[in-house]
Amino acid sequence: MEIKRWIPALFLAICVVQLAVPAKMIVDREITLSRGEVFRFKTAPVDPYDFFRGRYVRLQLEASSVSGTDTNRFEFRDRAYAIIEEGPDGFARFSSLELERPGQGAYLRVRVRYHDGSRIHLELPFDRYYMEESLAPEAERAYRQHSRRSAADAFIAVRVLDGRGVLEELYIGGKPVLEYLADESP
Amino acid sequence: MKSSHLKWLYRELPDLISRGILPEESASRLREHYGPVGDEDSRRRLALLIFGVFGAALIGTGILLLVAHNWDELSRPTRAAVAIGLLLFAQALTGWVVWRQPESIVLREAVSTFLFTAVGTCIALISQTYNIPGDLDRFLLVWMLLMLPVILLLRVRIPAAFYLGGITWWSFAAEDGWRPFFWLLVALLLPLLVKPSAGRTTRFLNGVLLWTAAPALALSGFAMIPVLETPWIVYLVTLLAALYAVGLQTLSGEAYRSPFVVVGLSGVALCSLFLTFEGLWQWQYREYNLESAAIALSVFGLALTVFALWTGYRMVRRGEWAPALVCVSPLVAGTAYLLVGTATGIVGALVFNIYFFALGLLMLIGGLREGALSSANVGLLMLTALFVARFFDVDVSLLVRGFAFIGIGLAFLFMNSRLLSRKKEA
Repeated sequence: MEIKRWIPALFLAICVVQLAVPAKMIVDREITLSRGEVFRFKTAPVDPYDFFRGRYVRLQLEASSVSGTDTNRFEFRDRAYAIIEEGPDGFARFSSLELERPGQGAYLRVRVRYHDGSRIHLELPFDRYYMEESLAPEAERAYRQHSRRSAADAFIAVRVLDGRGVLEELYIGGKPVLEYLADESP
Repeated sequence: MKSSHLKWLYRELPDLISRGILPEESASRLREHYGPVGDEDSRRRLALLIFGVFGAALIGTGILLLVAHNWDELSRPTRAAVAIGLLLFAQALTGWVVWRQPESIVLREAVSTFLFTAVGTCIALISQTYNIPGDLDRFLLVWMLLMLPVILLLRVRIPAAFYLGGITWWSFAAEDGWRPFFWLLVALLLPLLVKPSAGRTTRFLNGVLLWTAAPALALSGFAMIPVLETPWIVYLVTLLAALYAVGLQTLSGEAYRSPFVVVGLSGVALCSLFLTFEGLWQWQYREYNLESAAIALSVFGLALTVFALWTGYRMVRRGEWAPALVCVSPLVAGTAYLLVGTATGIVGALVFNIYFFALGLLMLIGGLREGALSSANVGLLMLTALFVARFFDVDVSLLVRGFAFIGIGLAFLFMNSRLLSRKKEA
């Protein structure tokens, strides 16, 4: 009987916890988007037989691996910090990988996927761009076209803050994807 | 007892009393024991419950589908606000029931089911809005853990069934080292089952939960394959035998009504049938690993084995040989596995061929002795399945196989007709 009187209060406490989880997801990312440094990552050449999975565009990035790091220090699924540097072409890449959080500079919290020889391949916190399902096939076609070796001008803009990276926009032909699709539609 | 049977009994009581067959006092005690026949109110409540929960689940799913449409027209903050708003609405609805109608099982089940889908939808929508990569295991775990306190607080079974489905799915998506924590997540639900059921609606809900739990627990055995490597066979058979033992120990009424008996027995029988094939054991022989056998025979596996064997001992004392043989399947699997390590792959297949044949035969004989058509047929079906399985393995002429099939078919017909005529005479 005593417990029954507490049920409404306990339920209220549970609601607060349930709200806290999505709220934290939103707040963390909004802070990163508003205060984070912008980096552009070029998309990698796409295998023409890749098929569109569901209602998002699957992204493949050129800078999804890092070299020049001792591969023996890292194992599958290890958490690590990838140091970001901007290349002469204005696009971001990873210069090195650390196990400890760096004290300064731009870095991204990543996971190790595997290494082959001297390169370590990374699992990045942005691998997809969600699209409205009727636009997705067109976006996928445009993305593939602009990611081929002959016309590689698709890239993503990512905001990075304290190791967290949030995908801001997908650019195709130099324009945000929705704007590109709107301009290209008859 | 079924309400139709109860109605019949209550109809007979006055006649039995008047003819002096049953004293008045015994009749009153019978009425007290079985309670009233399911009256119109409780049937209506059950119907309301079913429709209410379906409606809530459909609404929640419909909202999820709308979410999946990707509302590109809305700005990012607006989409985030919609996600939070949906969750707040579901919480407010549930809170109103908790505050105003806490005794209504129907409302509690319906709103908590809606809240269940709202929590998942909210997290999914935020993931879409911010293009967060899909870590399925993390998403499922967070979703289930956020709902668990609501399930325990409101004592709701339908969301508990969804929870079981969710954590079972999680056990397949999680990294190997985390998978055994599935059992901890299951154990967290135990307080829900402690209170004995009362009333038709609660019994129905408990039934839904138990019929979800049994297959979920059985399936989790497969999720442990990467954790245990080759000894997973021993673990799986042990798990299924333990489920069967739980069913036997808690049985009240007919065996087919117990989800643990049905799932456990089917699971042991199907696993055993697969283990009669030599190919699987040759793979075991090649990949044999005694070190990970130690993991399989860990405290948890040992506890399951002891429980199953103890139940088997009780069945032997009751003269129920077929159930006893199901309960000792962990020993059979363990023995086969150890023999494979010392000899060759075919030994494992041989052990299980003998075991499966013995199990089928005992079920057939037990069914014939007790006049139980279903047990006898299951036994004969098992023997037929073994024969068909060997049909693909063994090199025997088509003529022999043809005669054998005809023989088994005739045996089926003969046995069923004898049992049916015996029932009619009784």
